[in-house]
Amino acid sequence: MKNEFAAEAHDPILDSISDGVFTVDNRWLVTSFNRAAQQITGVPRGQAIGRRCCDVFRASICEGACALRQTLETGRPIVNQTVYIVDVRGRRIPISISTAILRDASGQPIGGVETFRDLSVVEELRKELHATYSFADIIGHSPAMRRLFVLLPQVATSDSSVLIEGPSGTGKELFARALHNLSKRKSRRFVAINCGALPDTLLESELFGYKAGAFTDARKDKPGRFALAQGGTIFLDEIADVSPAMQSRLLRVLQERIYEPLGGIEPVQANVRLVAATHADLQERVRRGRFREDLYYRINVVRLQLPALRDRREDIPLLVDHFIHRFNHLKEKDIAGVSEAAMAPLLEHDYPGNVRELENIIEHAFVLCPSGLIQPEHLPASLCKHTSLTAPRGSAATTLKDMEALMIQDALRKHQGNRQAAARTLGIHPATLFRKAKTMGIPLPDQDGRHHRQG
Amino acid sequence: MLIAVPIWEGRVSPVFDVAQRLVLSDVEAGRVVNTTELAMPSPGLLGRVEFLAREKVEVLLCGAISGCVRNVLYDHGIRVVPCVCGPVEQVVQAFLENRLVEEGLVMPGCGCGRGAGRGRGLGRGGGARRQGRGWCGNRRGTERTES
Repeated sequence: MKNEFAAEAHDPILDSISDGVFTVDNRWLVTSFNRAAQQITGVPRGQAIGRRCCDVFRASICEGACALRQTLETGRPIVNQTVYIVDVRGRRIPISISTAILRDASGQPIGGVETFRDLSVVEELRKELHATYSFADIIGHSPAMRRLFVLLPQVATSDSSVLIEGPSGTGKELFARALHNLSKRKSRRFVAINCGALPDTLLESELFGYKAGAFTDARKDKPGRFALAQGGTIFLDEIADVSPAMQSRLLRVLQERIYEPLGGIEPVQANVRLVAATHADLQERVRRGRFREDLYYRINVVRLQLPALRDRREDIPLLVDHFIHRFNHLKEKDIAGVSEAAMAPLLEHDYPGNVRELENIIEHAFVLCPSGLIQPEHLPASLCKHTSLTAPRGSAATTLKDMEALMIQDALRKHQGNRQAAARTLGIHPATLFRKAKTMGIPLPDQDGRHHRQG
Repeated sequence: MLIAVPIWEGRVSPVFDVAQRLVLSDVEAGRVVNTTELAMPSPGLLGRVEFLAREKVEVLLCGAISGCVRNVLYDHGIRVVPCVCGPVEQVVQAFLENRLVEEGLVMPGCGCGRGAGRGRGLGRGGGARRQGRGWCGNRRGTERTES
């Protein structure tokens, strides 16, 4: 009753402020909580009033360095300190806080007031600008991604060379950055270079740098990417496109941990962790003699295989949510989500361009959708057309049941009717797969796919 | 069963990600038989997850926790019951008796709008299906009991 009453007793002035504001009494119990505070924290006012402020606010500083406590103890206000809170959905929200003492008419302290501003937009822009992505930025709950999540922290601390394989647009650089940010080298630089984008001679000077006078116009020394990444991580994207000559130079760096800048006489020590990535089948290139075997084994100490988006369709709604949240910040819009009708083609599309393609599709929808829910007409025409032409069942998967049927069929097709393998991919028991297929009227091959293989 | 609870001033730490100390409660036949308080490794995803895995923690009762940390703990087989608050001893006992919600040991705002602490995501549970992800908006529907 007390809480319900407090919920009603709000202050229209405080509610009109876009910053979150709450006050506490001398026992750290919340006494007022404005509208913005509710929006930022996700905690309704009625539930916040009368509760301990740390249980409501859940900030990174509550336990060790509470700003309000410091203000009450020293009498000095704190202005614009940047911290983060964890909201009810488990999201870390960066905020800046300011604090002050509340006094009664006689000047006696009766509690404190804290105002806070949501810095999510600023943080999003900062990430865009500096690409400081971390482990928390990798989105996915599918079994394939969960396997990677378990592996990633262990790989990060090992300091071994890593080869990231995966089709274009699966987020190889994001993984490389997350590896770097989880490693002991995180305080030093992460330097990325796309080997496929540069001709050989340019790549050499880019990677190893050059000395003044090494060639015409080389008037002063230029440090290479290896020098810039000293103590940190170098990310070589599209490693499969490197020429044989460059391959042997890279091998020397990896084997002997030294390199020579162009025109240099003294070898330079390289204390750099190498993360390489490719969309090509590097093993196949080795077999064909197009990639040095010794270099392959040097970079392939740990191998991470990123799945194509069509192989983790269950992550699509999560990724869509993530992109909508991100674009809402970046484009100052308030799109609520994707309608059921628009989600169907998104779930059925094959995504040859993987996550990057999905991101582009959502960005396209943001241009056309003014507000509310993204509808099918906001999606690229090719997507809807493609889906309706290739949908194997004639009707779009608009419900969870349809989606389930679609995924079971996909898995069975992928494993040539092998029910056990299909069930493993889907993370369910083969008997459950059999039961569901029967209920949904999905035709199962007369013989399990395993028999074909044996035969 | 080994239950871990991050502790601060005798109560559950408000944010697991930055908690500094942890209480491990060894439970046998539904009763706490041994309690140990330990310092947590410095904030950092990997250190914390490895620490809990190394200590063979089966259940983590905690306050707020970042989604990514929760996912990694889950993938290490550690059941996470988030959004818990109150005195640690009372929280552990209430968890064992499946009374966290009834005793009001739930953080405000974590209850699906059905009153403080109501909804799924809390409670004791058992079996693989009930590997606690916690929050009510729980994508895996993990606190369901399925027949």
